[in-house]
Amino acid sequence: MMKNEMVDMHDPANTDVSLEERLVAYLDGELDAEASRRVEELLAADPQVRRRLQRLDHTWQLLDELDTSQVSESFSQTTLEMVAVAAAEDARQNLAAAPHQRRRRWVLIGGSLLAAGLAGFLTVALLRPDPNELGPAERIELVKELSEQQAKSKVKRPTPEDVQGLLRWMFQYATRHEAAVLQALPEPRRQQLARMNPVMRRRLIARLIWQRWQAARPEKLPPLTDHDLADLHQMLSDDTRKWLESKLAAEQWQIVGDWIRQRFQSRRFNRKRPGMPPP
Amino acid sequence: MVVSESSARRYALADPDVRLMLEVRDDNAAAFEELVLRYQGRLITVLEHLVGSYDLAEDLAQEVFLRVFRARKGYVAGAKFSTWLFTIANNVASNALRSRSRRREVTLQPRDSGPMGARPLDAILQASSGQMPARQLDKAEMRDIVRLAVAALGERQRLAVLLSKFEEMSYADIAKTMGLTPQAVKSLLSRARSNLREVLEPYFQHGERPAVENSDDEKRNG
Repeated sequence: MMKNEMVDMHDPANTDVSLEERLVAYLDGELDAEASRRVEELLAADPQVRRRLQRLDHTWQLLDELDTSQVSESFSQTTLEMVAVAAAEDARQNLAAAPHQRRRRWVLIGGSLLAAGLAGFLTVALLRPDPNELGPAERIELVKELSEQQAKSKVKRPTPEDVQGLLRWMFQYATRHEAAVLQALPEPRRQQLARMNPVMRRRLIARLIWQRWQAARPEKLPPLTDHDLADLHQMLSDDTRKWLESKLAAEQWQIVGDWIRQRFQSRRFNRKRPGMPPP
Repeated sequence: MVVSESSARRYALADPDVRLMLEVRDDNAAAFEELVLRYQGRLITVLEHLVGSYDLAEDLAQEVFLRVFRARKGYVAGAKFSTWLFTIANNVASNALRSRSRRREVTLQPRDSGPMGARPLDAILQASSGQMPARQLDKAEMRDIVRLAVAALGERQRLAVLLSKFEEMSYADIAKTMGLTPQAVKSLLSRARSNLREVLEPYFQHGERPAVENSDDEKRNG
């Protein structure tokens, strides 16, 4: 009988089943004061009910023999890694689903700022007396040339589209080199991964690779092939792809590593656990 | 679930795990790690007894934690965190058991009756009590018999027993976790305890071999 309900143990409606329920609820402390008092009266009056209660209680005590599971040492680590990888994947999907307008707005804002800066520069360049002998048009040419040179030597920042592409590429790379990564793992870890379902395993392997990028340990990475590089190019924005393709392969990998480290290292999710992928 | 701001504050004050979960909602990875550490043992224990396999229980527990993480942004502080967690665990385990049951229909021989083989309790009782009915049981044997008796319960009865025994949940919390009314939980637990008593009592008191009927239909319906 539940708390706040009245019990009449002498009611003919009290079947054997309902008596059992009341006794169990009494043992579980689920009866209110009045119902408990009635059960206790019945217990005091009827030795059969007393025996029944004792037997129920004894059976319940036997369940203390049940084991509590010993959690394997790696469980929490594996779980956190799996969740971190899932978080990275969610972030990628969210990015892909971001409203088009928002991206366009940022492009517009960026474009406006650039135009304003250029207008300001031209105004100053054309109106201010120049100590050099170059005319305004020549100076503009010179500035343009310098800007181009600077742009060539400076590391380009990845756009949101590039970041999305990078994450996509990471999973593809993990898939391609799954067997090699597994092979290089210590035996217990390999067995643990082997027991997982393939999707989960792939996520964890992507996560491992991600950690190695972040730790700047290229020697621990699976081979970075031209094929991988070509895949990566396909997933970047046109501008970034062209810019990246103008570099040597080794330099390109260096840049990709820098992107991965710089772009994601300071995210909130990494604050407590350095090396975790972004949410 | 609609919970007022003041109720949410009250829940957060009353249950430290609700506070942790609110931090998880705000993307605090350390809080999530703390929750995993606090609940992993409890969760795997209940799941292991529910599904009868440690490996599967671990996989399911990971799935539960993943779902908790994915649901973090929509988390609303309510009652107890553990009730919410075990509600998710119940869903995950039910899906796994359903899918295992479907697979078994296809792959098992007609004589098989469950994940632990044909009438496992009978087998162990035959092996021990049939030969030496009055002897003292050793700890490990007793544990096996109790474990098998619990495994012989229907899925819903088993979960209610585990939540009550291991998690010390009230009927109201078990009801929330299992999507039942408290009255239904009361009946469920009463039936479960009667079943356990019927199975275990003759053995432990008189060394008699009890009859354990355990059809798959009964197991599913609890």
